[in-house]
Amino acid sequence: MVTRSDGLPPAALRQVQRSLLSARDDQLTRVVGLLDRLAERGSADALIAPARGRLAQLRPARPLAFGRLLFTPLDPLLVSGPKWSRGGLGLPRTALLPLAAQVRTGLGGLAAEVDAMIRGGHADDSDLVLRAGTLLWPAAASVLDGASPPARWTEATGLATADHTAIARCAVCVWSEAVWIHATMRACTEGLNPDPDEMRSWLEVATSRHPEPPGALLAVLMARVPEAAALIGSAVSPPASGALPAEAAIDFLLDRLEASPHPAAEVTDPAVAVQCAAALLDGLEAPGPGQRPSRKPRTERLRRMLDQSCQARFTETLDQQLLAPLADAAAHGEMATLEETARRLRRLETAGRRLGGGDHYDRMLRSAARQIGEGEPGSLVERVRLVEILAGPAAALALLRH
Amino acid sequence: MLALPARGLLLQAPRSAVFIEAYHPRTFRERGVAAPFTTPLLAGARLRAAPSRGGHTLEAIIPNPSGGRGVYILPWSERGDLCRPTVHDTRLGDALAGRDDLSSLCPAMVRQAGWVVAAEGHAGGAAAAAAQVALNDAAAGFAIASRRLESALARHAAGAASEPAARERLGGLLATIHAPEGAPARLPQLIDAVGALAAALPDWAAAQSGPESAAAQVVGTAAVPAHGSALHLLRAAVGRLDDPAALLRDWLADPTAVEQALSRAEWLLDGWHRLVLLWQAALPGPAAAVLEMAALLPVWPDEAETWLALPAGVAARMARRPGALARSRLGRQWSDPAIAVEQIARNERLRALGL
Repeated sequence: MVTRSDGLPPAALRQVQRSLLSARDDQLTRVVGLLDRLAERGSADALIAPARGRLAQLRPARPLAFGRLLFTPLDPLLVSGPKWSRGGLGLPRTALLPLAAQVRTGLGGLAAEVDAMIRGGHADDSDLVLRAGTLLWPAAASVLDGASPPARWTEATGLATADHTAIARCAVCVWSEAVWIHATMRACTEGLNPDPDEMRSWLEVATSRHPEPPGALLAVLMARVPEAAALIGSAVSPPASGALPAEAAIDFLLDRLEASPHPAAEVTDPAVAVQCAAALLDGLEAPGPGQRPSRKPRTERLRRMLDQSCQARFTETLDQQLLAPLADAAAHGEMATLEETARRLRRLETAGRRLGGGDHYDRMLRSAARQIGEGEPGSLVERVRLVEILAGPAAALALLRH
Repeated sequence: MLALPARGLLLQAPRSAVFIEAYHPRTFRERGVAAPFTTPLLAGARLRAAPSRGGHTLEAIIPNPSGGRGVYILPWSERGDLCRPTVHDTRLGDALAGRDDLSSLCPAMVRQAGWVVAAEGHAGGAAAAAAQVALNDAAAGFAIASRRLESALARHAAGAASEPAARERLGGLLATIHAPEGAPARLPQLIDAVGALAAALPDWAAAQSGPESAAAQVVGTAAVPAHGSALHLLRAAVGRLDDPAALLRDWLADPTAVEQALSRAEWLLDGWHRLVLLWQAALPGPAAAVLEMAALLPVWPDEAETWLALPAGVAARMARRPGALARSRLGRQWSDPAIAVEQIARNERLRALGL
């Protein structure tokens, strides 16, 4: 597997990558902002590839570009070029730019419609992602279904011609069903649980429509919808999906978790990633046909790792993204941003409690509420609102009446 | 959180008795006024004045959170037995509970109080800005309506124009039901929006299956008579403006009767604004919205039969709706704290849209 970096010698590329790895959060965010504004990214993505894990945790507001929207449904399957292996479930990032260009060309005028819809939008705007995705994903699947590799495929990606067929098949399979998956994911975040029978029926139909590659759809669904992770994890899977695809999907997701237990995701809320991981582990450990005694040490270890990293992520976000910028945000009229951060923290905390650490979250939330309440930044009502989100209305009313 | 048994039972709450019953009020005042609460458990809750020891206290009527039939009825002061309302809701309820004129609680009073609390910032910055605009618009609308009323009265009934109480009470009502120059009044806009809902939902329902489709059909079916009847009541109210002298004469003789007649359309549609906003704010897949809308549909009290000259029993028949709508699917909304935080934020966005 070769990572190309047109225009930049390998040694220089490595030097830039090292500099970015040691850059401060704000510096890294600025560099990413600059790259995001490039009309043609070319091989610029290679520059930030080693920092991708950190970026996923920092979650700077990324513009919703055509390519990012296109590959949002495939996010749980993306792996770096060197980690990609033929026959596995993953999709190599090195293939994304050529695939995006191929889809864009095949879409004709529709691509411009998508561009217009997402102009000025951000990747964390789940409403916009679903609206624009509804237009783009099924159409992208039609374009790539049975398509030949684009010109210069091997030069651009370092992949063989046959790899294009496998990669395209995987992308087509996920794009074809992406609207349902994202709508279900969104409904879950609103508390509207998917009906288990409906989910089984959907899986039965979808996996029979797209049997190849085995487990790709299941892996994406388990990474997006906690209820699906629990259902498939406990092996209450639909008959048509069979045991093998589910096992392949579970192993792929466990490998990913093992490689990076950070509750991070580039386009989805980290809390959703934690919820799905916790649900998968719950499902695998629950008594039933899905339980494998041989897997228990692994799932227990993963649960501990995920719990610790979730607590660490929570503490870091609370300190760096809520408490530290409080005075600045109040001075610049940006308290609404902090309110959103506080809600994000509550989502992460609620998801994290499934893994343990309840005392830690309680302590941190109480302490943060006290600090905000006793501080000066912002108006009283603004501080009351932050306390209400973090610690509930009783604490907020006490502050208001103090 | 209290468990919900079958309807008609009396539950013992920690500090007070909370009734759950099949909810079919006789009058609109008994039905209560829809309040723009942001607490998820209080979605669709209504407030009413209940006689108490020579005065009145504020009472909350809270829909069964499981989506099934029945309501909780409890004094506002006891709401902590059922849920922990947001700061916004606590301020709103407390402000209303402390009013001297609580016995005449009406939709306009709750709306105005809601704007004042939102303008303080307790539903977020966007809702505060929207509430301030609404307060300014309402003040401007009132001033225009009041001047028009005064000038009409001056033409038709010399001397009566200086009646300040008439100007105050009737001016407020007219600003809601009748358009001042240029700007559409609030109520006609809402009636149009309910009409649009009635037109859109059948098509949407036909394209769906499962509980979402059933919910959309239920709401669409209820929107048709709500729209037509509100339009009829509004026209009757606006018609009375043709003879302002008679209107004033009637008001001086029986202000309550005149005010009720002018505000019937508003009472009838009270609660529909939230449904309209839920639909308008929904995404391409508004399944969650229609399920919530169906659970929050305002019931018609028996009094509607008198207002609309309907045969006896129509209101009761309209109140018969499917019981629990997708109860299990909505369940997590009430038990997951992170979802509650999201729901509050969503409800605050509705406030910013103009609730």
